[in-house]
Amino acid sequence: MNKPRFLKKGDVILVVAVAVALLLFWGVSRFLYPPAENGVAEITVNGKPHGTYRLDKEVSFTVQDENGGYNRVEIKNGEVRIADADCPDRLCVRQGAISHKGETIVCLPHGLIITVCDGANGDVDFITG
Amino acid sequence: MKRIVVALSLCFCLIFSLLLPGCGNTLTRYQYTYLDVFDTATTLVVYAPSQSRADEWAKALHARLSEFHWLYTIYESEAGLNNLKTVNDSAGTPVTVDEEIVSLLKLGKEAHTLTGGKVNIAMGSVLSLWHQARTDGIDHPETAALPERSALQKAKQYTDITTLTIDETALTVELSDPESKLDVGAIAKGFAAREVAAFAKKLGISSALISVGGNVVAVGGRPDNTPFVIGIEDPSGEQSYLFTVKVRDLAVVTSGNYQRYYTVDGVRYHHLIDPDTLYPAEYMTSVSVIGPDSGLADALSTALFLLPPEEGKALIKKVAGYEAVWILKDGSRLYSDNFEQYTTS
Ligand SMILES: [Zn+2]
Repeated sequence: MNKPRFLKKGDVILVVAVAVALLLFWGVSRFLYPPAENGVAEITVNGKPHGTYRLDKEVSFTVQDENGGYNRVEIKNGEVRIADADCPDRLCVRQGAISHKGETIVCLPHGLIITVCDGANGDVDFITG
Repeated sequence: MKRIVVALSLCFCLIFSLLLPGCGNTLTRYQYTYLDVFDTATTLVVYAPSQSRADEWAKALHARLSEFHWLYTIYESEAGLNNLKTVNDSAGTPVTVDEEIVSLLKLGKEAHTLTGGKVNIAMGSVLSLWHQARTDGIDHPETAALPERSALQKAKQYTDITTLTIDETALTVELSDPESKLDVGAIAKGFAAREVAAFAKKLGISSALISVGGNVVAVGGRPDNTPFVIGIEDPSGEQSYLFTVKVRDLAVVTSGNYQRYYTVDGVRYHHLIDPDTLYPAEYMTSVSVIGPDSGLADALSTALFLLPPEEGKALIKKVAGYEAVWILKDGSRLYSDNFEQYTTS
């Protein structure tokens, strides 16, 4: 009778610890990646700029790489994600949506990188004149 | 097993307590705009740990700005206070004033010497004619008119800065000529912004922007330790800003022909009056000055606006630590020698 009770207590501690750790991770990632103001998604393929897209405009398009591979990019609700891709690992698709300044989605097989950046006005603290 | 769990949770607690102050220090941007000081829009951007702290800070900064407003105004009297209107109304007798008035008028005299008289705080007689014409013209556009040329020329006789005497130890100032009038519009906003920025630091504010009219003072940099990025407004209004400058603990002051003006017979007349011609200067659209002291930067931006750009370039070169960018009427830009250290695009 003693043993299960002891385990139960340990479980509780573990759950609390994990919860704290998760909360912490969430807090730190929020701190490291503040929401981008007038955010844009900058897309490069093999290091070359492919395009910059506003996150506040809903759009879906396909980025083709030199070997015929594709990534379908979707921008919706201020977030960008790769909705579909024919890369072997599909890690980029699994990564989900990003929206905070400095966050990236990488498709290694296709050499594609999406980075969330501040938009034209977002990087300016104040306008004077 | 129990020990591992305890050790593990202790670890988490430790990490958590170590990181907590870091999270607690996260500063949020709060912005306030006021329309009741210096006849212009004042904006405060403060980074604070909470809304209540931000409100408290903004209130204190606004109160300080308001004090400067009442000291430097030449249009309104405040009971129990000797301000610049008192000095103007008491020409011929010394007036006991606050230290802030003495410091400002001293800056005015220095600026006069430095700029070869282009900044002249004793030009109130001329500027009051323009002020009256502009106020009437804005209120009644159909009858808008320029001040009489003869009146301007008569007023010019009473713009000698040496009629202003400052006694720093007795804290008195006096205009010796009853016809002379002070107008500190060219330096007061910048000077007040500088003092309020210093006050902000005293309050413990590490990251803020203080904007009074065209005068912006950066208190520190952004909370993440990068410099503030200030956009210089596009006078044509096509873009929200023309380009950006990166600053930390510096002032950015702009004088432009679009900031305050009125229209007579379809022609715009702005507020930056050349003390020599007695009319608005037409060399450029705007000029912005960056430097450590927003009072001096304010004086310099006025002087540069009233000088041909080449003469202005020679002037700014003489003042160490100050740089300028001119926006000419064709939209092109001129930069002082070391301006590019501030440009980001
Ligand atoms: Zn992929």
